[in-house]
Amino acid sequence: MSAPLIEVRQLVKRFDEGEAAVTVLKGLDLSIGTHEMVALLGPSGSGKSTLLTILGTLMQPTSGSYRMLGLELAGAKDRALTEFRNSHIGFVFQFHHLLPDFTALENVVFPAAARRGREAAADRARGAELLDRVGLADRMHFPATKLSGGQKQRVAIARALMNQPELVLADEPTGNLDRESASYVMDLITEINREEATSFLISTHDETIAGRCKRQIRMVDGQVQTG
Amino acid sequence: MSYGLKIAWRYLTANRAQTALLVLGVAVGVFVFVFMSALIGGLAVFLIDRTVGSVAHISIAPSERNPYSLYGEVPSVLMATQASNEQRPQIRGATAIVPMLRAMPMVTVVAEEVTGNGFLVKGEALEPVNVTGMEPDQISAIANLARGLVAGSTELNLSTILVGRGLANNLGLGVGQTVRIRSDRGNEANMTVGGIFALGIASLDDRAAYVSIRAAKVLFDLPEGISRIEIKLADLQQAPQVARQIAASTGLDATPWTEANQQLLDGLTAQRRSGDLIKGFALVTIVIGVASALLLSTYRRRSEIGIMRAMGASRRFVVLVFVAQGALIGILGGVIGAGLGYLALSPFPLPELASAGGFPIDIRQGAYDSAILLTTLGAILASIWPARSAARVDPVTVIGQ
Ligand SMILES: Nc1ncnc2c1ncn2[C@@H]1O[C@H](COP(=O)(O)OP(=O)(O)O)[C@@H](O)[C@H]1O
Ligand SMILES: [Mg+2]
Repeated sequence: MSAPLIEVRQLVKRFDEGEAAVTVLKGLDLSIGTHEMVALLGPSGSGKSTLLTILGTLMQPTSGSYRMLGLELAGAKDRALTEFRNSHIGFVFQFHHLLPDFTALENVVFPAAARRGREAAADRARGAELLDRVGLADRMHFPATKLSGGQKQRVAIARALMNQPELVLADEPTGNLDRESASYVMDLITEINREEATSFLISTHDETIAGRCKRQIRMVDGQVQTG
Repeated sequence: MSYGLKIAWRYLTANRAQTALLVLGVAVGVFVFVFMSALIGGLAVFLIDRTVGSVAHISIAPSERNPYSLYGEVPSVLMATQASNEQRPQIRGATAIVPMLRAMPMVTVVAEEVTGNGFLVKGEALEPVNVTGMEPDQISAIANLARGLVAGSTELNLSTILVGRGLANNLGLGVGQTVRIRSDRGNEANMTVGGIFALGIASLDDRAAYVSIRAAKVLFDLPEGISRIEIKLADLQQAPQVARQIAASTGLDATPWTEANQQLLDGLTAQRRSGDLIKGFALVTIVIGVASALLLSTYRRRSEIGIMRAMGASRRFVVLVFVAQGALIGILGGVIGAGLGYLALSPFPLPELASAGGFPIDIRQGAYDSAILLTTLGAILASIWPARSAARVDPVTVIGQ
């Protein structure tokens, strides 16, 4: 196996809330390769979101090393991380988190437009293609607020893919959906993972969802166990 | 269109009622700004017109030939000099000077005058009078006698005289009547009252009389020279500079109107300052209004800002979105406020045409461009704090929920 996409060594995350300090990640090691689809299992409060937030460069670890694409990201500057995140990492959150005053297409194009400072025609074309791919070609110009929960989550997946990231982090992406929508979203992710060079790390406490991923890892006592 | 501007516009239009109120608030501030500018400017035009309308902008007189001390000013020594009275002060060679003055760019009127003092005698009544002799075709060029005429006409021949209303009343004079004039040189002549004027300035209405320059030359024994040259300019604010220029090139005394009206100018300056203060308050109100509205908006949109940051939008981009909102509000409010100001001012006549009881407000001096510019700058300034606070939103705190 070639150099992994991400490589985490001895990752520690401690929250200092006055007297009550909690150490959520306790020297965690993790590698994920390209083209992988990994489920991150663990009960609520086990630290799944914390890990994804650090991997998404939205939060700094207390200590340890986090390399992605050969770059050390732990301790890097906000400006560099923002650019890195924009080009290489996509997010799908439990709550879709679409921009409410924008249409479905505008939401999908946002990551590219924010980088370029304008909405390029080529980006709009890719956005439309992605929306078509998640089955929302006819909802392109709908305001985000007028979509159903499942549709919003599909728009969020299209948005996460906009800048062709190497890694998509999905934090309980089906947590808020009914069984049918959840299944549809997982089908989509599986299909995209098969067709594109994008790795997925999907946190969930649902074994069925986890079962659809090729690899499962578990949060246990601030560390991950494979299998 | 820049993407940041697009988002800014989207945010403003997403909440139409609130944005409309905010823009209206800014527009009211701009309206006050424009109205104050026009009022202060109009008052100045009105007061200057009333004061300077009947006098020359620059008065040129022969320079004084008083002896001066060869020792200069010595503080401990009291020195007396006797004014020269050997010669009558007069301008000689006016025929050479006048064409040169006429050729100066700012100068619109050049009037040669012979002036002197004397008495008007009617029966037993006797009144002191300041006589000005002018070319008949320039009679209304300095003081607008034609506009101030209350009886008769302003036409002058060798034996007609125009007198002020106060003077006419004191002597019981009417148009067509004969009056005897006695100059301080001891010359006398009988003249016919051709017209009576009222300029609204007591010193002129009660004391002044106008005759033709040729009649004045005879009355005051000035066959060759003239007493003074009076000048009007296209822009009366230029009077001090032009006067200096004239003094330098002719060697004569050139006195601008500002010298005799320093109090008026001081008053106008004070008035302008208080106007600026009010305008400053209007701007401060605009800045506070925009800042608080945008700050509120950054709190309401915290989670969206967090999402944008998570999607890789830079802090600069977030700042741009909010500063652009400030700029758009400033431009919109500025243009609307200035437009409303212009509309509100348009029914008022220009201050120089305003009747005595009228409201002297000058639509030309609304300072529309600086109102819009300052408002836009103020609104941009006001948006910087909210924009920076927006850029500091931590995505983690808003995504978790
Ligand atoms: N910002 C924070 N400050 C303090 N404690 C936190 C913070 N974020 C998460 N935690 C704590 O970390 C633990 C793990 O949380 P989380 O990563 O959200 O778990 P999961 O996503 O697996 O439910 C929880 O006990 C939570 O209270
Ligand atoms: Mg979680």
